[in-house]
Amino acid sequence: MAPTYTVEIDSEGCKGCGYCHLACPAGVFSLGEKTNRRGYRAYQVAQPEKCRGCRKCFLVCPDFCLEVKVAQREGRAG
Amino acid sequence: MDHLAEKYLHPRKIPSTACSGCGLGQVHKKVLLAIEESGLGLDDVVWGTGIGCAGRQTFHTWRGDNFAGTHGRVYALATGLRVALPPEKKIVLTVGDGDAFGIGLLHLLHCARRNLGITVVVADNFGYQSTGGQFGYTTPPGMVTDSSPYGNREPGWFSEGSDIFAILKDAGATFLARHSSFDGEEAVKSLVLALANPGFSLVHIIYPCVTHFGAVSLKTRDREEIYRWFAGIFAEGEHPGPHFQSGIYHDARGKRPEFASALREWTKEFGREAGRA
Repeated sequence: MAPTYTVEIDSEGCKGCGYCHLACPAGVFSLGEKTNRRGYRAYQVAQPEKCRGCRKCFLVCPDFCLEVKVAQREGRAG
Repeated sequence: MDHLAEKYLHPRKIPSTACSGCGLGQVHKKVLLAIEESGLGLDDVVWGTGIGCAGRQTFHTWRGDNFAGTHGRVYALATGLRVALPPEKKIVLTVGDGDAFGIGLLHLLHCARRNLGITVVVADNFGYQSTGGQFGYTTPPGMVTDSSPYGNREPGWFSEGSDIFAILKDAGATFLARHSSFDGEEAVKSLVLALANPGFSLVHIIYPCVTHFGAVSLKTRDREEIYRWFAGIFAEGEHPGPHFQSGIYHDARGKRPEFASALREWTKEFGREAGRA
């Protein structure tokens, strides 16, 4: 079974730059509807199941508000 | 907050005061990742900065020892610290293009000449952006800025085929690399090598300023357009306009003695000889 990943965005720390969305080759992110306390429309993890764990989003996020973790390591199903 | 900010930074400084879309945080993060990958902790690094956007965000955000120098003079302060501190203590300087390649260039060259054991990370946003977007030493020719409304007429350090790295290499630097702030693991790898170099390392990272360079010079604040423009200036092959190559430019780690260590050795030897006399 292929490894799976969790992607988290701290919506209060996000400034809505969208670099995660632009860098992601898998289409995990989308612009959220809500405006945070600082007045930014934060990005959201719309399709987490598409994440391949490349960490491109993490490497380009300038605001320390995004994390990619391994949810389940590679192994045999069942 | 991500794990890097929790591990190394003051939580009250995150999110930073940088504008939305500013790439300085990307540079900052890659330096922290390199520190983490090098197995270094808060006690292992002394972090210094100059003045400008790069200075504003980074030095006091670091939870370990830190200092800010006056504009372009942080290299002189770091020279004193390098001689005073134990060699295993890393000195990291995050500075801007104006600080390193303009007002502080002579100090910087002397650090390279001495092969001083410091890691200089030049966060380059193509001009003086924190003061309103005036052109500087790396602003591409022709660019409209706050102080060049008809286009920048000055040749920069990267125009007409020149490269400031050639001067730094000749001055004696032992590790030089260049990246875009949008680069991934390869930029972190260069920073890891820079930190491991006992001598003088400089990593030049070009990053986007949305508020001034984007809005005035590129005529857009649109993140996607800015993202694509940055990909374009680092694209391979011939193309008009600014052109940069990502990667290691010069690697002579270990080829020259590091200044403070050599001085320490000489002092020890000198003391022994004086004792015999």
